[in-house]
Amino acid sequence: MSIPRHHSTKKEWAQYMLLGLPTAIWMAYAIFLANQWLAVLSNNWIWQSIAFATGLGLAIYSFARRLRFITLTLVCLGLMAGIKWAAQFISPEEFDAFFFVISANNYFTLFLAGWIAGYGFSRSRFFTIFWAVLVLAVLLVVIASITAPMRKALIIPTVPVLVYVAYIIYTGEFIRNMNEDQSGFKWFVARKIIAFGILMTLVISIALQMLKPEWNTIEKEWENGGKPKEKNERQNSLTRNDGQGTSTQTSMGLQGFNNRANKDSLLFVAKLDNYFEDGITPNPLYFISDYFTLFDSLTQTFEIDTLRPYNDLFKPNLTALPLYFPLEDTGVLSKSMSYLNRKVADAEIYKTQLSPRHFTAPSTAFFVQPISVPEENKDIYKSAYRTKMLVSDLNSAYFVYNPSGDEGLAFFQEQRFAALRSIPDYNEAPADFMSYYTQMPIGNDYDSIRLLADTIIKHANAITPVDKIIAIRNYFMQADSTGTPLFRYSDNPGIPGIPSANRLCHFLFESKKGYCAYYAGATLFLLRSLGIPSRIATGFLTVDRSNKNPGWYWFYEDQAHAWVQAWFPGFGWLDFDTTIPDSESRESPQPDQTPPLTSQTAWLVANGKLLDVDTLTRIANMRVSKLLYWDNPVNLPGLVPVTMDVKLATILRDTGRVALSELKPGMEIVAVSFSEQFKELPPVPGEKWSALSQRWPNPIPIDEIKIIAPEPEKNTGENKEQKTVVPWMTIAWWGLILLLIAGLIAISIPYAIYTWLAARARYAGTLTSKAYYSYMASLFYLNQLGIKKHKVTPQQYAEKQIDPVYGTRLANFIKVYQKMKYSNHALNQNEEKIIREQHPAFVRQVRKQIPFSKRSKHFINTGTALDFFTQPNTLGTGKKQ
Amino acid sequence: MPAMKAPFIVQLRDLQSRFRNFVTFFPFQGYFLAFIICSILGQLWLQRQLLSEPSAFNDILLALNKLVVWVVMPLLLLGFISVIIPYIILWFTYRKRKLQVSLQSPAAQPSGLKQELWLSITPLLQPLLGHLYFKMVYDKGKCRSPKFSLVRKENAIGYAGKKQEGWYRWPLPGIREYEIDSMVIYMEDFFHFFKLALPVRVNQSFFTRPPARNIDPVTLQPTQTEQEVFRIKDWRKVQGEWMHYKNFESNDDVRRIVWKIYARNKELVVRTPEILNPFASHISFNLSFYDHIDLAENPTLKGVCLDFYKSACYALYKNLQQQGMQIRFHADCDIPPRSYENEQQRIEFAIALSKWQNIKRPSEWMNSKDATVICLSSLDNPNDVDYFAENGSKGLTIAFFPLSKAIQTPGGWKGLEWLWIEKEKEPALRTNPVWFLSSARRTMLDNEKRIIHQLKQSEIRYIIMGLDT
Repeated sequence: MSIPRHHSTKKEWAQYMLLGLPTAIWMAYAIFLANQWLAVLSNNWIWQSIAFATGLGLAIYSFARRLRFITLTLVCLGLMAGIKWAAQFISPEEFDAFFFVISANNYFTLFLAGWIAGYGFSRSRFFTIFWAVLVLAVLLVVIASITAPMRKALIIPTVPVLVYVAYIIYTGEFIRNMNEDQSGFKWFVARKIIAFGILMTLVISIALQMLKPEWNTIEKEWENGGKPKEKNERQNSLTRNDGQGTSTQTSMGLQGFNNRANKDSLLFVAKLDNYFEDGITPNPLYFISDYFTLFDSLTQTFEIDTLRPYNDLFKPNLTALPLYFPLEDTGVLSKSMSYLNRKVADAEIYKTQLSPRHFTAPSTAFFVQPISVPEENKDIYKSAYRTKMLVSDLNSAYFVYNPSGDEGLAFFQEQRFAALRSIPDYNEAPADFMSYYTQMPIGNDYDSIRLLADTIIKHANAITPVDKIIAIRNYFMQADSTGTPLFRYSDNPGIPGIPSANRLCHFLFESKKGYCAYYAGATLFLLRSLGIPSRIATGFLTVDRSNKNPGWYWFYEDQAHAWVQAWFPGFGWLDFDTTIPDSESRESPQPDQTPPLTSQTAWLVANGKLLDVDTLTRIANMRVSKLLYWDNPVNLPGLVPVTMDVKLATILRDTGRVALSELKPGMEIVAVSFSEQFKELPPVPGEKWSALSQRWPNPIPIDEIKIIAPEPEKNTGENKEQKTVVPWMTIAWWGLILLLIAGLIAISIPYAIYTWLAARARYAGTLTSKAYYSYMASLFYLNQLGIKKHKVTPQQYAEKQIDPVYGTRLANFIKVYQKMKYSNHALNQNEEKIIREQHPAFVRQVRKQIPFSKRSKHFINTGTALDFFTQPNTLGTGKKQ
Repeated sequence: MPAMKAPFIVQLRDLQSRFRNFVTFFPFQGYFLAFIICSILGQLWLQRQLLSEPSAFNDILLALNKLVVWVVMPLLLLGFISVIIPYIILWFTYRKRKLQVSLQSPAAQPSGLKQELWLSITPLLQPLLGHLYFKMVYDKGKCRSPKFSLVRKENAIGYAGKKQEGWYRWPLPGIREYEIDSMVIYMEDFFHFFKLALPVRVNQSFFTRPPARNIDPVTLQPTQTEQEVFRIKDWRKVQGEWMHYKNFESNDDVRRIVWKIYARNKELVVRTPEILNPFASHISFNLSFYDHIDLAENPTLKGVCLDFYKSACYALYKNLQQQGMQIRFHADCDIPPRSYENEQQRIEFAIALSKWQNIKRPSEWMNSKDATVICLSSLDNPNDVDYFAENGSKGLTIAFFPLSKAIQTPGGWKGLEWLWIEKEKEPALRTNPVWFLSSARRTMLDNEKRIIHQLKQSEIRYIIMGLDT
C-alpha cells in the first residue's frame, strides 16, 4: 500500500533541518541547563534530549506521511500505560519498578513534548507562534531567576533565545509557503536565512547598544551600593536582596538551595526592652517578618497568604512613613486572640544591610515610628525605627530554642510547658480559624505524615496539645542506640532521586537532614495533622551575645530563620523551634561595634513638600503639612510655609546619606531639628500655630532631612511596579475605540471620495474641469453601487448597462465629454448645457431607481472604492485636456 | 415587481465571497494576529511572575522584556516598511499602465490535473527579505487558485530586481477549460505578518488534460472499412491493350489525360481509377456524455464523476492509441473551432470541454454500423445497449464506465485506514457523506445496474472498466 504524502521529501527535509534540528539543539541546551540548575532530571540530559528529538523527528516523519496524530498519540499513551503496568511484574523489587516507571515517565514526557512540537510545527502555523512566545516567556523568567544581574551574563543566554524565537517564527512560515518545485533549494534557503541572520544581528546589536545604559544601571544598582557582588550571591535561602538591602523571602521552596549564608553580613541591630522579672536579665525574642500559612503541593513551596483569616501581622511600609511620625494598628492585637501572660515591650531597630522597607519585630507588633540614626552612627546604620509590641512571657527565645540535649534549657522550658498544659483542647477556638490553620494537602504522602504524627504521640503518650508539640520536637531530637542523632542539620539536604517526589516525605522518612525550612515545614504538617493550629514564621533567630550592652542584639544574615508557631487559646501564637542546631556552624562574630547608644531628641519634626532650595546659601523652603513639636502634633491651619536653614543638615534617603543637590523642589521630605534652641521654647498649651511660629528662630535650624520621595533613578520596587504594570484593560479599551474609529473612517471613505468628486464637479471653475469631475463622480457613483464596467468602453457601458436600466442620459454626456477631450471642435451651447447639468440630474435619476438602504449598504464598502482606483486608467481618468 | 430575494444559500455564498475579499485585502495575516494574541498573553503571564516586592529578578525580567520589545518592534516596523514601499511603487506603476504582465500557458503540459504557467511581471519589486505571492482568479471571479510563489530559474535566485518571472505548476480541481480573469499580487514581509494585495487584470485561458492513467491493454479489432484509392503505377503489360486506361471521351476531365502516353503514341487516354478491396482500417471511438436520468446538475456527478469518466475514457483512448491503432474520435460535444497543434490536442480539448448533456442520445448520433467502441456511462439509457446490440457491427464493443467507481465507499478496511492515515484533500479522492445518502446516487446505481444487466443479456461484446467482464 502506497502511503500518500502531505508534502514532498524536499519540504520534509526542510522541516527536519530548519525547524527540527535547531529546536532539538536548543532543547538539548535547555535540558542541560535544567539538569545543572534544578537537578530534577537525574543528570541524564543527553538521553533526555534524544528522547525529545526522537519525538520531534517522528512527528515530522508521520505528518509527512499523513499518519494521524490523535491515533498515534493514543497508541503512545497506551504503550506507556502498558509499560507502567508491566513493570510491576517484571522488576524483582518494588522500588526498582517504581524507579523504572518514573524514569520511563520522564523520558516519555520529553518524547511526547517533542512529538507535540513536531506535529505542531508541521500542521499548524499558529503553533509556531505559540511555541515561540511560550519559549520566550518561560526562558525570560528562567534567565531572570538564575542569572546574576550583570549585563554580559544576561546577554549570553538571552540573545540565543531571541534569535531562536525570531528564527522559528521566520522559518516556520517560510517553509510552509515555499514552492516545492523550486530547484536549487538549498542555496535558496541558505541565502534567505543568512540575510535574515544579518538583519537580526543588526537589530539585536542596536537594541543592546540602546539599552546599555539601563542595563548598566541595573548592574550597578544590584551591586548593593558598591559592595562586592558575592555578598548577594551568598544569601541564605530565606533572605533575598530587594534592591536596597536584605529582606526575607516571600516564598519558601523546599528545594536544594545552598543554604550557606554570609555569617559576616550584619543586617541590623536591635535594642529590645524586654527583661525577665529581675529587670536585669535580657529576655530575647525571635523577630518576625512574615507568616507562611499555605503550602503549594505542586511546587513544594510555602506561601504567604495575604488574605489569611485572623491576620495579626503588623506590616507597615517604612519607606512611606515620615520620620518620627508614628503609625499604630491595635486591630492586630484582637486578631491574635491572646490575653494571657502578655505585656507591651519596646524595641529600636537600627538597620545596616536590612532593606529600609523591611519591618521586623517580635510578635505581636502594633506600633512603629521611624527615627533618626544618631549622627555619629550614620555611616554604619542607614535607617532606624522604634516599635512596640504585645509580647508573651512564654515567647522568650530561651523557651523557643530547641534544647537539643541541653538539660538546663530543657528544665527551664518546663515552666512554659506547665503553663500550657492547662489547655486541653481547641473546642473553644473559632471554627473558621481552626479550619484554616489546620488544613493539609490531600494525598498518600500527607497520609504518611499523619500516620507518623499519630505514631509519635502514641509513643509519647501525649494528650494535651503542648505535650504533642513536645513529642514532635523530641522526635526530631531522638538518637539511635549508638547515640547518633536521627535528624541532622544540613545546608544541603539533597533532593529525592526521583523527580516530583515529595521533599518533605523524603526529609522525614529518608534523608533526615535539612535546614530550618524543612524542620518547620515537617513540624507544621505533623502539628496540623494532629489538629493543632499552626503556621510557619520567618524572621530572625535572636542570640544574646552582647555582655557589654544588655538588651542589644546583633542580627547577621545567617540568623534568618523559619520556625513554627502554634496557637493556644488565651496565650495566642507561641513560637516553637524544632530545628536541630547546626553542629558544624561557626558562630557569628561577637559584636565588636558600639551600638547607637547616644540619644538625641527631635524637638521639631516637619513633614511636607520642598518648595525650593538654595545650595549656595543653604536655605530651603518647604510647605509643611504635618508637624511634631516636642513629640506632640501641632494643629496647622492647612499647609504652612517654613524657611529652613540647612547648613548643618544631613540629607538622607532610605539607602543612606546623599548630597544637598539631591533635594529637588516638589519632593516630599521630613525635616528634623535637634537644635538646643527649641529646648528653650517649650510648647504652650492652647497655643496656635501663628503664635508658636513667631517664637521660633527664622530660618529654622534643621539637622536632618529625610527624602520620602523615590530616588530619580533608583526607584523603589513599588514605584517600579506602578511604572511597569501595563494597564491592559485601558489599552484594550483604547484599542477597541481606535478600532471603531478606524472602522468608521474606513466605511466613510467611499462617501468622502464621492462627496469630494461631486463637490469638485459642482464648483469647478472651467468647463473642462467640470466635465472631468462630473464624469469621475458619475462613474465612481455607479462603481460604488456595484454597477461595474467590465471590459467595455465608457460609451458602451452607458448605453447598455446604465441608460436603459436607470433612465439616465449618461451616454449623451460621455459623447460630449469625449468630444471635448479628443476633438478640436468647440462645444455648442446645448453640449455645454449637458455638461453643466449632467451630474445632479444623473444622480437624482439613479437615486430614484435604487433605494436608500441599498445605496447605503453599497457605500460602506471600501473594497469597491479601492477596486475603482486599482484599475488601470481605462476609465478615462487620464490627463485632462 | 418587487425584487426576488436571493435564497439563503446564495446569500451565504455571497457573504463568504465578501469575507474572502475582505481577507484578501486585510493587511495583517492571521499569523500576525496570533502573534499579537500570544504576545499579550505572554505579557500578562510575565506580569504575574513579578514579585510583589522589589527584587533583582523583577528588574532583570523587566529589562529582558524591554530588550524583547526593542528587538521585536523594529523588526515589525522594518517588515511593514519593506512591504509598503514596493506596494506603493507597484500601485503607481499599475495605475500608470506601465506594469507588464505576461501569463503564458506552454503547449507542453505536465500530465494530470496540473497546469504549468509562465508568469513574467515587469517592473515588480520584491519586499526586502520578504516574499512575493500570487493568486489566480478564474471562473468570473468565483474561484481562486492557492497562493503561490514563482519558481525561478536557478541563476535568478535571490533578489530578482525589477523583473519577476518564473513558473507555477498549478494543481487544478477538474478536467475542463479555465479562464483566468485576474491575478492578485501579494507582498509579504519576512515574518509573513503583513500582506498587501493588488488585483491585476490578466486574460488567459487553458484547459486541463485528462490524467494519463494506465489500464490493462484492451484488445479491439478495427472495424471501420476504408476504401483506398491507389494510383496505378504499372504500365501496359499487353501490347495493344491499355490496362487501366481508356480513350479520352468528351466528358472526361482533361486533367486526367496521361500526357506521357500521348507524347509517345499521340493517343489521348485517361487513367481509370481502380478500387482495391475494402479493409478494416480504423477504430471508430465514440464517446457518450448522455444523461438519461437527468442528474447532470448534481454537484458530485458534475464534478468528481464527470472527471472520473473523462479520465477513464481518455485512458482507454490512450491505451488503444499506444497499440498503434488508428482512431477516429467521435463525441457528442461541440468542439469550438480552434487551431490545434495536432489531433491529440484536439481530442484532449474535446474531452476536457465535454459535459453531461441530454440532447444527443448516442443511439441517434452514433453510426452503429461503423462504430468500433462506444463508451457509455452510468447515466446513459439502458435501451441504447439493446439498440447497439441489434444494429451494431459484429466487431462493436461497448465500454461501460460505472460512475459508482468514481468515489470510494467508506467502511471496512478503508475505515480502518482512515483511522491511521489522513486522506488527501483532493476532490477526486474525497468521500462525500451527503452523496452516499442522496437519492441521486440511488437513481444512478439503479440505472447502472440496468445497463450492466442489459449488457449481460445482449450478445454484444462489452467491457466494464474496473470490473471483470
